[in-house]
Amino acid sequence: MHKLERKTYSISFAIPWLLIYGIFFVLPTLFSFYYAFTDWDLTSAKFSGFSNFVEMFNNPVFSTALANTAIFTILSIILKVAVSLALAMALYHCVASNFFRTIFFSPYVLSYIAIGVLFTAIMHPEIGVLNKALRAIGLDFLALNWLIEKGQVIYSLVFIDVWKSAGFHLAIFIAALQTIPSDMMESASIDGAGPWKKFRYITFPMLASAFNANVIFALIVGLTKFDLVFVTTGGGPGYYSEVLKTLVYKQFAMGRYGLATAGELIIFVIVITLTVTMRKFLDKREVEV
Amino acid sequence: MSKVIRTALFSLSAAALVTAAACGGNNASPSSSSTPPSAGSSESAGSANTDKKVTISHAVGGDSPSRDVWMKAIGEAVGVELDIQVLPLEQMEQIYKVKAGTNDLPDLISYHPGARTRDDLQAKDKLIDLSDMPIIQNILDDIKPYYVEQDGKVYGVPGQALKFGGIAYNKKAFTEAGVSIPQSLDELFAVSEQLKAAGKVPLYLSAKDSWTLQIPGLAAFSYDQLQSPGILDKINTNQATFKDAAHFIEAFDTMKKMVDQGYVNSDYLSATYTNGLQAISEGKAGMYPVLTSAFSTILDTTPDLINDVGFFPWPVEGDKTVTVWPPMIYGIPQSSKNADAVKKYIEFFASSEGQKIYFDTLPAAGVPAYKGVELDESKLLDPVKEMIEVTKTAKQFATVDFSVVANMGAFGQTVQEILMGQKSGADLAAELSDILAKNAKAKGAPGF
Repeated sequence: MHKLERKTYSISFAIPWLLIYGIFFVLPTLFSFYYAFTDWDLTSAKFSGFSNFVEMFNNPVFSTALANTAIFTILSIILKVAVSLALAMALYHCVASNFFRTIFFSPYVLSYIAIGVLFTAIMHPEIGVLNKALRAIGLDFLALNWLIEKGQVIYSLVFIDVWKSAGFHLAIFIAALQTIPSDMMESASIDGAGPWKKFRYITFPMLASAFNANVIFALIVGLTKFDLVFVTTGGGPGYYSEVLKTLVYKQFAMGRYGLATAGELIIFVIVITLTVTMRKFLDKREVEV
Repeated sequence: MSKVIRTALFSLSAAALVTAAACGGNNASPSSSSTPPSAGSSESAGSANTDKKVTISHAVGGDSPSRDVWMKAIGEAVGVELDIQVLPLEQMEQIYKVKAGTNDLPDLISYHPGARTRDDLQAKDKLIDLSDMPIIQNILDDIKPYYVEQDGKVYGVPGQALKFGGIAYNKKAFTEAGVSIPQSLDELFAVSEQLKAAGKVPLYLSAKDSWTLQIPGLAAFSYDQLQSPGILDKINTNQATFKDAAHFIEAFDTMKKMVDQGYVNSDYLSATYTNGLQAISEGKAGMYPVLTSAFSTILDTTPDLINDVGFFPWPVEGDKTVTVWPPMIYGIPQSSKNADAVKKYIEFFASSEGQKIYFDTLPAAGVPAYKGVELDESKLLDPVKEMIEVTKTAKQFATVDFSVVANMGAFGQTVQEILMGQKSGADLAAELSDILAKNAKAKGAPGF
């Protein structure tokens, strides 16, 4: 008699890719821990202690970039999850659901560079399609300086990011919705539960894992946002849309590679800390739900 | 069986690692990067007359059909082919720095001269010394210090014409408004008022491309150099700062006043460089701060409008100066296997014949950077005539961002803040002084 054993693939299958991952990601990341403490000009690195971190924290733009990153991240998490959940619920039973899923997902396949250029034109205050359309239908008061008004620019960027990514989060929610057993819904209907109660007590708890995944994805993307901001506003006007990643890029462009690496390390620590904390919180909530 | 599989997998891993390492490497071995071109390379370089042409790789910022034409014409003349890689203009510097750091520079380098080549490309370790080339003697004396190092080494020679920073103006708009070139800042405001009355945008600003906002200050710094001799040396040794550069500060405060008085296009925060060039060439705007390389772009896009535009330096009362942007260098990395062919290319470019091809193809390029190059006056375009005229009447200083001891960074975003009323020219000067001091200290510059 053969002993009953669980057949699994050998870990050695992963070795080639683990090696590549190790060489091109893990090692450079570990090196960066060292370079962050140096004045580095790509050929030589002179140890400078914590001076790069002190300089980064003392940079007057750092606090602005940190605040903008926080606003961008928090708003984009809330809106991406809320919008995609609402769309998922609306589309799940919709007649032409596949068609609409494709429509909503399509912005996600576009690059941020293309989207940045597109929205720079759309949101131009005078010749942009958005303001022209708003004026044409008599909503002149809504025709704003979307990307150039200091108080609005970060919210405009959040809107663009939500527009692009909602389809991705929608796909995750729809996949999770499809795993909910239909008999559970039917028995709830027989017991007299209305749509809200079914959502509150069956659908939403069953979507908890997808919800958590979406929040974590949106959190990491928000904290490390660069391309959209770089292409659309470059961090401007002034520094009103500067985020941590664009600030670090500018140190790199000045040839302060050690300083830029220190900035990256700060972002790395922020992302890891917030992701782990958020994950723990969401896992705990998932169990409670 | 499992042992066989394991052995196979480890072999596969090793193969993958070797492949990855090969992909991550570069063509230059450590020895080749520090050794002058071998006899073998000179043999291939001398192949102009053989069947197989040498292909020179080149990387350059921004697309330009005219440039491709004259570069290839010069390539044909010396029997080489060019493989031109066009880099995004705004990322050109970063890409070049990384290429230098990873020994991946193209055969023919095109980069900012002076301190920028020396520091960004680590010229001493990465580039070939060209001081034995006879063309060095022909470089204009005024700009020679940006190409010839203090120890006599030369890591790059002018690869373009001289360009200047100042104000492009539309002649038809000026005629329509009945105004002439302003000679002082007061006259700049007076001219603006009349242009506005004539229905023109007096001064066009394109803050979306924030680098364009830096031009007035960089152009005005020449007056600080003229009126406070030695100010640049003092800044470079930490005995003075940008806070001492009164004209530099005044230029940015002037831009803010122009905005406040309605002399600037209302969409200046979302306007781009392309918008600016269109506005000035079509005469919708009267003036636009530019580098004179803008004229080549206008010639590429709207050749029929090129003679409608002209150029004058930043207007300050008294003796005149103009800020020069010394031409980008042509240099050769030590890692190049085609160094001799590239040298021939450069030598021919700098010759009268090569310069003729260059200026015939690109008549709006600017003023020749080499002595003895005679331009056909009958063919000169109006903006070039005005540039040449300016060089006869104004003292020339090279732009400060090529001359300071360490990188002072891009400051267009702070100028945006000035225009929005958040900061002043003095605030910008203080910020720049601080950034320069920190960068110079990190670099180990004496005095910081």
